[in-house]
Amino acid sequence: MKKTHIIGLFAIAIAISSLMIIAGDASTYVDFATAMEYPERTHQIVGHLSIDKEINYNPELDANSFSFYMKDKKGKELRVICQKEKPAEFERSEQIVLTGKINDEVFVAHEILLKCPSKYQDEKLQNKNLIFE
Amino acid sequence: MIEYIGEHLWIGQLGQFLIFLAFCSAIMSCISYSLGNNESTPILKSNWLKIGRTGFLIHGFSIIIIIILIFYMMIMKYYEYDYVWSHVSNSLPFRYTFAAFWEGQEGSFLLWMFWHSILGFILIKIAGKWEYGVMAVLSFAQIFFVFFILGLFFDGGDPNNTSFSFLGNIYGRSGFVWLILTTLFSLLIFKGPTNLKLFFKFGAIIPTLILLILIFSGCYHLGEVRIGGSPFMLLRDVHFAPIFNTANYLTSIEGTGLNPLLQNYWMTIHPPTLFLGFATTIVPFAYAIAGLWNKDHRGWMEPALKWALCSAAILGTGIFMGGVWAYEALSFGGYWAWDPVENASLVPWITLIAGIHTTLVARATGYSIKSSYIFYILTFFLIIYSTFLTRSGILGETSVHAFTEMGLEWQLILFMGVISFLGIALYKYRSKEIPAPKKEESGYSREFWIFVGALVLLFSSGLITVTTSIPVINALTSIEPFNTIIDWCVGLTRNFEDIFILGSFFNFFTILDGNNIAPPDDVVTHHNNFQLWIGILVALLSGTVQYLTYKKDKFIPSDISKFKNPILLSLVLSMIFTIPLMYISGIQAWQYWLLVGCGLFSVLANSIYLVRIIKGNLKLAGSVFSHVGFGLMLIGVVFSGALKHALSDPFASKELDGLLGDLNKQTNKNILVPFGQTIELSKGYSVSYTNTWGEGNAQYYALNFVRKDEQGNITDQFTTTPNVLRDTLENGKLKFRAANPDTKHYIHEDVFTLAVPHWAFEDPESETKQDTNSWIAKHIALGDTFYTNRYYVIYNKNDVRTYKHKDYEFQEGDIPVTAILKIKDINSNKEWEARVLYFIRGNKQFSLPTEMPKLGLEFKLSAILPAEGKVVFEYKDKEPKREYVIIQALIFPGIQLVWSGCILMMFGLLFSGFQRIRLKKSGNEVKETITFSDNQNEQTKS
Repeated sequence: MKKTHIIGLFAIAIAISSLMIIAGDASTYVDFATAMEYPERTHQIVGHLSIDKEINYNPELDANSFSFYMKDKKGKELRVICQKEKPAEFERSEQIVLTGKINDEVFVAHEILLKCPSKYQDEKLQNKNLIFE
Repeated sequence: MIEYIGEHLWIGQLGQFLIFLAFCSAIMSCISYSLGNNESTPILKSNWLKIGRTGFLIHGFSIIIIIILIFYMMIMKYYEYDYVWSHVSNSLPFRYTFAAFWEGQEGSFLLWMFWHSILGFILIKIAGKWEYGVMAVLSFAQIFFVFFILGLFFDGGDPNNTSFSFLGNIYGRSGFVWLILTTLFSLLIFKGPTNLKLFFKFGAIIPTLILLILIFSGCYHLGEVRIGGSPFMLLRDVHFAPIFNTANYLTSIEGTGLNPLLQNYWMTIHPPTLFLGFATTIVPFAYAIAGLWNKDHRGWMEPALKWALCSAAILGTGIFMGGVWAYEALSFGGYWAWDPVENASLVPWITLIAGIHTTLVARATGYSIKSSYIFYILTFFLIIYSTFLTRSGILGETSVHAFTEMGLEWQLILFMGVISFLGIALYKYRSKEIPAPKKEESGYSREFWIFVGALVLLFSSGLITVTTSIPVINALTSIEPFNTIIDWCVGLTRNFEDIFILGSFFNFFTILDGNNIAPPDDVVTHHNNFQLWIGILVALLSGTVQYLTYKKDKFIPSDISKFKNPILLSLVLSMIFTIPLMYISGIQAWQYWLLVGCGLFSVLANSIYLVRIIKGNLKLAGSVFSHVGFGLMLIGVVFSGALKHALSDPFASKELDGLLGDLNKQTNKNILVPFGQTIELSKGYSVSYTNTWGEGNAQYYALNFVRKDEQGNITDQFTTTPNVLRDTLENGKLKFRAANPDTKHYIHEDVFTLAVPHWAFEDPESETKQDTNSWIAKHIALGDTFYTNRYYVIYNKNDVRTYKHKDYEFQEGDIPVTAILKIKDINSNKEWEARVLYFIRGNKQFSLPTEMPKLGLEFKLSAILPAEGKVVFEYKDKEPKREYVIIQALIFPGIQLVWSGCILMMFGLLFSGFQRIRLKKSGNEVKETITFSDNQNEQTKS
């Protein structure tokens, strides 16, 4: 057997095993219900901000956490405590991805990713029009 | 139809015309170069060359003029164009015009095409006999790039309803394409090479046929189908708002301007470098394709290698600048976060580096020619793939900074498909002819181990790509036929669920089947865990393989000592340095020790190689520079990553979060600093917020850091001035836009500081919150006392003679009374006086509130009750507004090693590239004749 063949087989073996590791590492997007079922695991949840509920960030008390309510894709709403400072434009976010765990009916997130409309272009044009009429 | 006032339509028509011209001339150039490449009659060959060159020159200059036109539009602020409106505004400083130009997708594609054109001009000048093949590939790619910004509409609307007269509607545009193509081929029928007349006749008829088919099949009314987004589209054709019912709408609109996060000089220098890097990867790819095409499997590598070296240096610099930008000017607090957008440009760089190494082997020994082909083709494919990832919107929720969508995904997929099909098909077609030595590489030879190193790099890029592509995998598994295949696999592996290894296959396919895969919970740790080992392997190989020689079957005793001594020496030295260094640093994970040791080994082994083997001959030292740089970078990455900590968190500095964890998540890195106060931080540091001032749209905050030793002596003191960008809204409130850090640099570490003011956390566009505190009433008599949260208040006396209040004007018949209140702080003996005005006008009682903003108190005397001899005071007790900033202060130890390592690595690449260009110039004649005769020999054989 040639050396290159041995290396090739070796490389394929490593490739398959690391693919498995990646698959094991990879997470899935879940909803709050699933996260509550497995409170010991870390989950990633996609949802959007409940605008009508309060967003609470009081840096004078604690600059490293803020809380809000989020609705997941199935419409379930839960209080979220995020262990970060409140991101800019948070109120305007279209979508939130949280990474964290359920803790006693509250989702404690250590990572938050927002999707904001990059610009409010259309909105701006439409508003312009209101001034006109 | 409305006659709009003040629009400059000529510029859009000219621009659109040039886009079509660039498109058609790229097609012409590609066809001519391709036919010329296959032509053997010298006269016809040179005819094709002329047409091809002319086509490309027309193309290149069209691109350049398009760019000039867009700049002109942007400088003149022609907001009737969507691209101008979206990227500049009246308040945007002139120096950001370039940044605004390439903020959008169309502009960045144009920047890319601009570099391609410049590269094309250079290749026309220097490529010699390779010009045909290489330029055919380059102009082929350019067809697709123009395709992305073609702006051809199959719009369902009324084609007449636009004043964009000639080119405004689909009939005009397709008619124009028809005109150009038909004219082009008609010209060629008469002036082009005679043996291809039939081909040209077909060429001249086909556009007409296509046009007729389109018209008769009603294609123009299929709905909103768009091919490519043109930068010359009108605002009113893109957005639909009632404002466009007014003829002079231009007078009332203003551009939206450049995203404030990008208003930074890095945005001016980073994209051109990165896109030049992207653009240059096409040259080695084009040489590889030309090599396969012309069956000159050795000749292409010499020019390709030079270009690949320069390309790797430029692309690497572009990626590196992105990291420095993120670190120096953005609030991420780091230089590399394994974000999909970052990964997408890193991966092709890694495969390009692998390609360079296999080409070196191939040039010296004749091994690895096939892998060189594969690596360059793969690199260019990955460049397009990374463009697809960042621009199609598919990354969705996984990336912080992808481009906004432009509806290009199918065009990009088509491009990827064509490139991979052409690459693979051509390679397969020729693979039997590609020369390779019969005997396989010996395990003692340099070529063998370099090949192993290239595989390690390939493996590294594969791992990064798989994780980055998770959104693509989700998209793929939800469409046929993949969906069915995976269902089938799940069914198949379900039977083996309980068996040790096969069970993981079942899990694997079940996860795939969900179409719902998310990236790992901690992406940084995930990638670090893998890439750590890649780093160790590459460092070890780059140190050892230098001492091996090409084409060695076995070691003879003298070789062994030459090989063994320097490597043993470097190993021992690196251990001597690493062990105490790591011990002092407090890093516990052994993997880090290993990585630092290997990095140091690479540095030492390469330095010894420079001194002992090549005797300080710097001309040959390019690889030494790069490998030493790589080693230094590894060491810097370990220290700045593992020992990075927040100054504001006293617990973070000692506690290392296990192995390779992202230390960010547990630390409490934010800390509140009130104006004028000093806050103690960890490690003897304290910070005070001493000053703030505005400059343009930026607000600066002066943070004064003091460091004391254990005896309390000041050892260090410095001030940083981070700033935030803000807009003032119409309601007078400030709107937070972006925070810019300020970093204090030392040789051994950096102190990164960021300050965000309190108002940044409030939503300025929400309605102003009503004071939640309500008035509290007190019935008291003169001399009585009442308490608020922090003060006691004495109703001291009444003053009927003086009445001063900002809202009060005396009128005849008024009876004013001023109640004087004494306010005392419960804790200290400080005292204040409040004068509360009450007056009777007609027979009504009025009271005006008096505010004590510093104390957070507000009073009013709402009624006098003569019967009880009391009065009713009302007060509000608010927390006094304190002015504060939230700061982050992060320490990055050893980060200068990362920077210097990266710079050295890129310098080494560039240096090798230039050395090769210089050597070629001196030995030009000889090599050219050799390759030419080789080529002729091959041609006569076939």
